[in-house]
Amino acid sequence: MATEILIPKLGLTMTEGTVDVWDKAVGDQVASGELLCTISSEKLTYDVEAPAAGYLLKICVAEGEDAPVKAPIGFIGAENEAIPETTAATTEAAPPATAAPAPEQTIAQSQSEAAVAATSRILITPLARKIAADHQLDYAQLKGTGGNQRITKRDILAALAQKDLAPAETPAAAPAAGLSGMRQQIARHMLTSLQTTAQLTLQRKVDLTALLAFKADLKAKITPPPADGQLSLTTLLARAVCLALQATPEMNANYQDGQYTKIADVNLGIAVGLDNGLIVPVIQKAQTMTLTQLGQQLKAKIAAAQNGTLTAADYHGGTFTITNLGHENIEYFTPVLNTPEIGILGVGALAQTLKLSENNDVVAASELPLSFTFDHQIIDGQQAAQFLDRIAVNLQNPYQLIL
Amino acid sequence: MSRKSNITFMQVINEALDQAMAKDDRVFLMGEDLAGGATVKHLAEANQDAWGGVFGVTKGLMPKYGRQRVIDTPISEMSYMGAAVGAAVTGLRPVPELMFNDFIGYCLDTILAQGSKMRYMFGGKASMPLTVRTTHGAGANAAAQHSGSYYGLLGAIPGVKVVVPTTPYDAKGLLLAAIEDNNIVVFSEDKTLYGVKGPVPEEYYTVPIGKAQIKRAGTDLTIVAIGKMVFVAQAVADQLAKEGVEAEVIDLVTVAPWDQATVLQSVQKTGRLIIIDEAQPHNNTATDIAAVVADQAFDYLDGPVKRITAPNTPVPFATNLEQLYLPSAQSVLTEAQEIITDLKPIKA
Repeated sequence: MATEILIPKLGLTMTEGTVDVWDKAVGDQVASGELLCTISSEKLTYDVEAPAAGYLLKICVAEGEDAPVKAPIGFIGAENEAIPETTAATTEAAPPATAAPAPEQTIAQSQSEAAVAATSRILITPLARKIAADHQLDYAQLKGTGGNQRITKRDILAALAQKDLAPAETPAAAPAAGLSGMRQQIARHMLTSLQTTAQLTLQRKVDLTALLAFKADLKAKITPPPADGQLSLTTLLARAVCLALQATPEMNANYQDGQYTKIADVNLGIAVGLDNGLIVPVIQKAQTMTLTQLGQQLKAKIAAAQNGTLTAADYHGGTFTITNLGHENIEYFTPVLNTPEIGILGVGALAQTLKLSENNDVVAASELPLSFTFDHQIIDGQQAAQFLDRIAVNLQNPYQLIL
Repeated sequence: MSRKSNITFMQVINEALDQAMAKDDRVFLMGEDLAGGATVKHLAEANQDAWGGVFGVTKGLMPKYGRQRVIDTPISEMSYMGAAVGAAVTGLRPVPELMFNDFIGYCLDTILAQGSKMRYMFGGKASMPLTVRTTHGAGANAAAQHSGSYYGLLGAIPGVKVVVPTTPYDAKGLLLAAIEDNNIVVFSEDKTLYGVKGPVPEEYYTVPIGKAQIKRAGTDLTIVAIGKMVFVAQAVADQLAKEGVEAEVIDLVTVAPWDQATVLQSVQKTGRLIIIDEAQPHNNTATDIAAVVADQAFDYLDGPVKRITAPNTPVPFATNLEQLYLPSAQSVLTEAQEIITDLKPIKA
């Protein structure tokens, strides 16, 4: 059994550490107690020593990257020993949780339980809680400046002052009473999204005439006819978004508590409307999938969402979301960010229209209205427009989608 | 104030006893070596005392009031404390002196099992105008058996009042109030404060028992302290003021019954509380204050209640350890950091 190398907790308030230097490389033999790497927290640096003798099997956190306290940053074991699959997978791509906070099943059991217990309870003084209650302030997202990072009167007063300055959104201040559990989650999540980000929406049309012709052409030629939805508009659109995100890594990211984290994998969320709300299942590592795999995944996740059989892992860790109101004949809208993601693409109704061709002929065209919301804290308008254009280019040049 | 110069804590006790004895001839003193020299011929012939108490606090009272009212007893705390309880319940106003409160074990029965219960058990028909003077406090390098602070232990007995004066002014007024009181009052003097000087009126006056005093007004943080810890509290408040934090310093003055109203009112204003006591923390005054505040002022608390006390050990003899044992301004600031941190301006 390989031994985990964990980020030590160096102080009461430390929540994560940065790996500064790895003194050993993967494959190196190490003695127990030998210097492996140097990590740092806000205040101090610390030499991490090998917890066991053996070979450095894996480095999960590269130099310059951060990891939460008690997270594994590497593994030591016998030469060529396999690393426990679940643990390794988590640390490779573990974006912070999204909508529904579900228990982390990933990091080694006991430690993760302790970590969840330590973070799930909101530390707030009695006085601060009372003031918050008097003003119907939701303090769940506040960061405490008191001892032990406790929320104190000062933090509540600061939040109230900010709330007074913020544009009128007070009627929705207490999204809880009388709502179902799922509705409460959505209410909190939407409010948090609007309160903690600088959302801006860009809107444009994309000409899908070529894509639809391409699709019809392929469909006719492939036998047996594709049955996994691999040529559905949703799948093609998802693929176009994946390609655009890969070409624009700064968009494929999370932003939470002032922390901006680019994420290597495209974990694509698809908003699925339900009778009692809305849920966003996530397709992990969507960038690695062929159109067929993507189509299968989309079908499976959407069906699971509608049947209520999604597990916590199915809507966790998204890096970007697609939402569609086209079936309700909406053209443009302003999708709300699925925080901590920083981008969401809204798809409107495909419309037949007449337009002028390059030769000034009037031709029939199919145009898809897109609405792209991004967090202006992180992404500038021009960057966002260029990203949206990449999606458009991918859709307008459909061969790109199958390369 | 008619007197020109300040006088010491010790002189003040002497003056208060003198004035109480002059005012009421039922008042008398008992204890070990209060006068001294009873069998020394030349002293007896000249009506002179010797040491006048182990610290010299009662020097000069015997020549003035005679050995009938300043009684040197055998070294038997149980016998003279028992005699004092009997004298009090039968109409006199004795002021026995227990040289060090560490010796309370020898005579606790007379106070705990008899004196404190008589008024209650006799349906209110008996009164117990007994003032037990004793000394407490570490810092004099007097080792474990002469340095403890047991006012909290005595204050836990129903029917016993306990006063711990901090300033010479309060010492006089509280001692006279104690002697006027018709209940057992333990008047606990910190021997390390005997040399402290302060302005004290010459005339007879009393200071109310059971009333805490706000020594410094503040809005951000309440510090309740007992006895010489009030000086530590003031040093802490001075330090915090430099960082923009205004601490309110309360001298508890009376340990039993302690002044809940003043403390609660202050905590309701500041939202934070530090209690400094040089007695041990277990089942003690600081702990009792913390419990009452947590109960009565819960919704006003903006941080945990911090008790800064001596550790739960006897007082060490070694000077360096004895200084470590006592709460200091620095240890208070360090231990209370958790509730002070968000009072300070956020550093950019």
